[in-house]
Amino acid sequence: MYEAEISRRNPGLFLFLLDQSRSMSHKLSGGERSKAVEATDAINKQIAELINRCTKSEGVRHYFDLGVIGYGFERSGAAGLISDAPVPITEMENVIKKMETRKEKVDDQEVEFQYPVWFEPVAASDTPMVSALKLAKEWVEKWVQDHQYSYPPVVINISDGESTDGSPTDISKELTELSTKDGKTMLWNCHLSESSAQPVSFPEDESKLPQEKYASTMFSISTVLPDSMLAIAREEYQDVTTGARAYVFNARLEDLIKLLDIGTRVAYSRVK
Amino acid sequence: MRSQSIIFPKVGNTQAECEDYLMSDDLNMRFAVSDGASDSVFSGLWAKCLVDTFSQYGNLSGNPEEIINKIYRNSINLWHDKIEWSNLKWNVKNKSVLGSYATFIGMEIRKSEKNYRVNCIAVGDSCAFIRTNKRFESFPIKDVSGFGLHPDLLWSGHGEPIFDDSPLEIPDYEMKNYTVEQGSKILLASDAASKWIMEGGIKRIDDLTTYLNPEKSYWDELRISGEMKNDDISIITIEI
Repeated sequence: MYEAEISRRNPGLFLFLLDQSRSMSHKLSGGERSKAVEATDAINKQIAELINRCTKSEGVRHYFDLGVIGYGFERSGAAGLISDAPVPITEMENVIKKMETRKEKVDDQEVEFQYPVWFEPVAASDTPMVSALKLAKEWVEKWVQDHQYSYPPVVINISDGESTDGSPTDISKELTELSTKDGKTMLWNCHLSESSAQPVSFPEDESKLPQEKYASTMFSISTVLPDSMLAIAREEYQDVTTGARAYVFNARLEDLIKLLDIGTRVAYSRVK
Repeated sequence: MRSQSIIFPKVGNTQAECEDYLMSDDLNMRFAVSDGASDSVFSGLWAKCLVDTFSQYGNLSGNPEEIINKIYRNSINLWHDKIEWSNLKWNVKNKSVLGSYATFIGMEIRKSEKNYRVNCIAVGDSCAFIRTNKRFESFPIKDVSGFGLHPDLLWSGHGEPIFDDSPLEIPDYEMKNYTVEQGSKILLASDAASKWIMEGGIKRIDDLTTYLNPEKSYWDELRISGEMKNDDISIITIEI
């Protein structure tokens, strides 16, 4: 399980769920930037990294389908932010909002990189997480029917955890029951909070969770890491043990990227 | 002397997407294989630049430092000149400025009075196999455990030309010389094919030098069945 080769014939699926509720305007604990800014930066960077990994001399190869669902941008609203279904990663080039040029040092040499921006921070209304998960389920259900030989979908939910349209537990179970022949859909949760509780990464049981009212629910709906992801998670986080779940609490941008990267690295290692 | 060669892309890729490159020059008795790393862009072009430069400057009987310096320096400039930097899309440019990577093995054969002198230079896990009446050797990888995920690679640099007087760090390389007699068999191959050849031992070398199957379907089947890793493959066989 979780060993299928990712190729143009059998692409993978990444689905980001982005909390755009009003409470995302609050600053992340210990940081200067809002949760909304951290979350959108992380998604922009991660999409750029996915494109980077699919880029060959002639352009981008269709190794992944990609979808982004925003929720809370309007009252009780959840909708696709790029389109109303996952799109081939090759199409992401056509929906870039703006480009930023940044200089970075690589091996002591200053190199100029172009950074695309697809999403700007939004923090507007309530937090209809259940609606977002329902929409994700619709998209994934259709996708797995057409991609039974693909690596299982990875759904990454970035939120402050405060679902305002009911408990996300049941719909999360339904979502993670959807499968390809290579395994069930994985649900990752990046829990951003203004609580001063210590960050937590990939806990294996509830005793490791912070004293935060939504942590238990977010942890419980997160997928147990398959062995291949566990191995990579251990490279970044020493205390990760068998049974660890795809849940990170209070990840700042750097950690958030690491978390997303763990998911994408495993998938990318399957690319042929 | 007689040589044969094949080069095929990964199963599922087109020939244009193949990132291996080889050169088989019976007349000047120079042979080379380079395997561009799939993680980088323009790595097929980088592989071609290394092989083409070796074809021009690969006189392996001289000073090794000078030889590798000349091949490497000229390859970097050739690679840089072949890319239309101003026309690259943002994502291709972002990746291009990180440079391209490739393994490389080059071989030059010279006839001596009674035998043949075989000079090899290598970076990474593209391999040579030398089979004489008396011995069988592989270079630079000695056994199948040597085919790891992170072979030594030649790097094209960040997309800047190198001037003659610019400092250039010479990558780690290996050189080896062999004396072989008439009738000896030699193979050069990129990593996936090298591993498969090594697993098959002397019989596989004899079979391949006798008949190198030119049909793509034969090599595709080996890779689909899992007998050989699904990777680009290049093989040169030489009968002396």
